[in-house]
Amino acid sequence: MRSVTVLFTSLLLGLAAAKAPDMSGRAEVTFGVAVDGALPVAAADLALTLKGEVGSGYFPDAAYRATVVAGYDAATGAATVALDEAYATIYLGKVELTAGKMRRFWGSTDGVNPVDVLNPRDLSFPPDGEKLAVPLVHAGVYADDVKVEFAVVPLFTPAILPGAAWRPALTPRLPPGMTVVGVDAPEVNRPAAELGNIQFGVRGTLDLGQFDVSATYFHGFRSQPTQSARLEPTGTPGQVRLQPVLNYDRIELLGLDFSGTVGDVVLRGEAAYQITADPDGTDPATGNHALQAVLGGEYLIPGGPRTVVQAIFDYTAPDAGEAADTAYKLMLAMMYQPNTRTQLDLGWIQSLDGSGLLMPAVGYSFADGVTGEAKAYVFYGGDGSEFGDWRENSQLRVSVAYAF
Amino acid sequence: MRKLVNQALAAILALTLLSAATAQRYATADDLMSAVEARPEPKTTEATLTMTITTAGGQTLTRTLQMWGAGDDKRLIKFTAPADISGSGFLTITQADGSEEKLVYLPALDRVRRIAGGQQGDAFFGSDFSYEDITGIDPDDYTHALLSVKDGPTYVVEATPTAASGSVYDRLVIDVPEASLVPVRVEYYRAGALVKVLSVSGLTEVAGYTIATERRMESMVDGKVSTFTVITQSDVQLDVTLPDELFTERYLRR
Repeated sequence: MRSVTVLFTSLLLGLAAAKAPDMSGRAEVTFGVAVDGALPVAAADLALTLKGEVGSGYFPDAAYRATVVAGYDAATGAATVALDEAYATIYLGKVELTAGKMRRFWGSTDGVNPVDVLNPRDLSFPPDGEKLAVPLVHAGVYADDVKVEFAVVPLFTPAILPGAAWRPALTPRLPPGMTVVGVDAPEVNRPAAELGNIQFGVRGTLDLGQFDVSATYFHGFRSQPTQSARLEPTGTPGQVRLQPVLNYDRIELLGLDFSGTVGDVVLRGEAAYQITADPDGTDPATGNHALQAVLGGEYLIPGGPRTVVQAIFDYTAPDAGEAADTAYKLMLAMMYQPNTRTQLDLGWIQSLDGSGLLMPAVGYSFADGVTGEAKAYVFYGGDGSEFGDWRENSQLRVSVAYAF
Repeated sequence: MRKLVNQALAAILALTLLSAATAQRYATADDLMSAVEARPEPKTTEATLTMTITTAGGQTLTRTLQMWGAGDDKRLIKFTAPADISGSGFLTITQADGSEEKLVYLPALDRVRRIAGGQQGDAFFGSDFSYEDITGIDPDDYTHALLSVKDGPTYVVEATPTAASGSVYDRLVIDVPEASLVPVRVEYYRAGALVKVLSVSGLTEVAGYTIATERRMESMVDGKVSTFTVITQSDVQLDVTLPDELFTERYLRR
């Protein structure tokens, strides 16, 4: 924490040399309609950003940025006013030190990033899964072809979990003759704010010109909980109540990722192995080891769209005596700008279980800073499949934004 | 009589000298293009670019960019307006083997992304310029033929791309005034049809170099202008010291 104090003291001392800060903002309205006629979103949001620099030159002494967001969603009645990002960076030669509430990206692939674990996600609308800014201290050391990053996340921030429409039903195994007569409020075991729960990570990147390779280590917690359930006796024979339990597993993450150019194709790969405290899969409340790997390429079709194809592999170590969980998916993303004003995008995720998600989008620039987008989210597949259970959540979202 | 003869001779001599002064200095297209290529170029460039795109309906979109370049090998572009794309950046580094490393920074995602080598004919950030047009004309990528010499003199040269150039055009017709040796008008032909016309204006001297402060690219459909983009340069600084750290991922995301 002392480093943070030093950082901000340095900034305050340098304010005399500060340039006038820039103020910018973005106002956006979003309206959505689902296939069942429900209105999942009818929101208006405003974000105001203040940013500036202290000192001069290509790398000034310091820089700062803060964003406040306010929003109201008439569909859910939720109103928010929150500090989104607020951080300051000091430049010390080849070292950059940043502290505050922020987002940091780690990884190489598109859309799915197993090593990008510093920020939890807002999964209230899972297909978007926007990252949440969290308090952290980040240091970057830049040598010629090597970059080393250190990150410390002092406080655990969980992901915002999906609403009821997106959650799978709890299906505990019941002993013969047992009936569930009720479900209690979830018991949430969130890591406490204490020294032993400080999360940290280190990432090294080697730039080889046409290729870059990164290795990542992270010591912390999964931002999404492992869900389990206990059976609580009710006093009546044969009847139990269900006690859901949400555990945020401690993990050690080892990651490797790369991107590189081969001819006109950019290859990208990323893999991370998460080690939990339940290597044998004997504790139902603790998640098991898991591996996620992504491999793909990007190609600009002549006269056509920029196209990304990726294969995604998920593996979760088995509970004792059971088979491991594996899943394979293919992802396609196409981005095309037929003229100055129009942007056409297509996202498609196809699971090998036959289910998938299709996301076509049309964007349009009405004027400088004024943009609109219509985007459909189409889930398909059978019951019990990876995306099929979300069929009723298929929807169309239309938004108009003004950036100033 | 002798006086008249002398006056006539003087007039003829003057006309001859004048004619000699306006006669073409370059006998062949290759001589001319060699001279164009030999024009001194700044080692580094820093400039503010304003790109105004006019649609077929007459509406305009304006982008403001800051550009830094070191020779032909390194170029960094950062958008400063409008607000929805401000902070986005694009870094191109040509490696010793001729391959290009292209990185794009997307501030909304806090992400620097290596991207596929752009096809030469793709539009440069939605404008009427393609990446090939922006890069400029490397005489080594073309064979040249002198079509005519206009008053000035201004040479009209036909440039035919070599197979190795990867150009999307069949041929270019280039107007080069002898005085500046700066191509001021370029007609681009594809499949035999005129598809674009570039007009270069605002030639000015900066630090001993002749630079063009305005480029207008018109896209042609059936011989008529459909859309056009004007790029103007301001705050041009040449041969300033640009640190190597400028052309790095670190500065791209700053």
